[in-house]
Amino acid sequence: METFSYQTWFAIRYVHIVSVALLSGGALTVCALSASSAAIAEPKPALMLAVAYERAFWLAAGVTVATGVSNLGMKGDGVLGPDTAWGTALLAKLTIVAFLLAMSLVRSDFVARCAAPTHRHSRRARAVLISLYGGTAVALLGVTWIGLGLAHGRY
Amino acid sequence: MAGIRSVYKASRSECDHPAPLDVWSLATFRTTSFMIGAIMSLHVRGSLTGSLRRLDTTTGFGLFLVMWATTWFATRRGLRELERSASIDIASSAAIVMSTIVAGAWNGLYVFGALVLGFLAASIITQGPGAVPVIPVFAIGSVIGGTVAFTIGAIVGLFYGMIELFVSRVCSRLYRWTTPGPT
Repeated sequence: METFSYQTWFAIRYVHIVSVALLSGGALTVCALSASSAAIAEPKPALMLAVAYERAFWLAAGVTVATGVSNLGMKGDGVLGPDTAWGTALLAKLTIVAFLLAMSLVRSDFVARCAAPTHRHSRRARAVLISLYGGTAVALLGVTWIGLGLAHGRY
Repeated sequence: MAGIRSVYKASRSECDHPAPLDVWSLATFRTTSFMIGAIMSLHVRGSLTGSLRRLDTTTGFGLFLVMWATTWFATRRGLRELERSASIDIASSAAIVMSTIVAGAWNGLYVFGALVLGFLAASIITQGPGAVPVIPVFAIGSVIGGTVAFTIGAIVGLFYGMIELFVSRVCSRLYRWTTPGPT
């Protein structure tokens, strides 16, 4: 095991939080843009932003998972067992993240279909996009809330 | 995933989206969900702290990056196989699952190969010429270990194939529901 370094731990936590902020902020932005009245008349800009978000999402998701696991490793004995309230909260967080990843696969696939040149825009497609990005943002904010409690030992 | 879907639909006319996003999203999904699954499994068994203690931060990050990279290569390979099978009209649920089995098997082998090379490099750096007798042992171990890694990867690939097939079906239905019918 390496010598414990607070600087490394802070750096890992910083990158973890920044990448989650980018993920949730991006999802909220795409959701808001898709819901705007401008997107009804011209949906292309919102879709282009959605495609760009999808590319960034998977990069940030990889970084977030890697830093999240490192953060647990740096916590050492602070990681409590599954029988404790803290352990249950960690399990809940990981379960939500797993569902979020599966939902994101559906979202990426849906966005790719909507961005195809032959796609015909519809009110339903717009509603689905708003729901998917809104759901992503809500899930990410929920996970952040649980993570905050885990970091401060509030369970 | 979108690539899987595009081949599954056997019609690229309605889905000419960029392939790199397919490989990128699918490879990262596989890597991150595998990692989350492993952590959940360790946590439920109460051995998470002990397992993480054995790894230092740099090694952990390095392993994650290696797995991410090998999964990307294996995913790209699997999707190409799938496109090839679609071009000869055998695109089906079985072809999708088969492609993930093949991708998983190759990924198991890639990860194992990367670990063997890493250990070999570490042995040579630390022991210098003294590491030469270890090389035949590594070679024999690699053949056996590689076969085991290939098989384990294929089993994991089967599991992922079923999940991704389900996700693909969900998305296909969702998209069809949103697409206006012919007027």
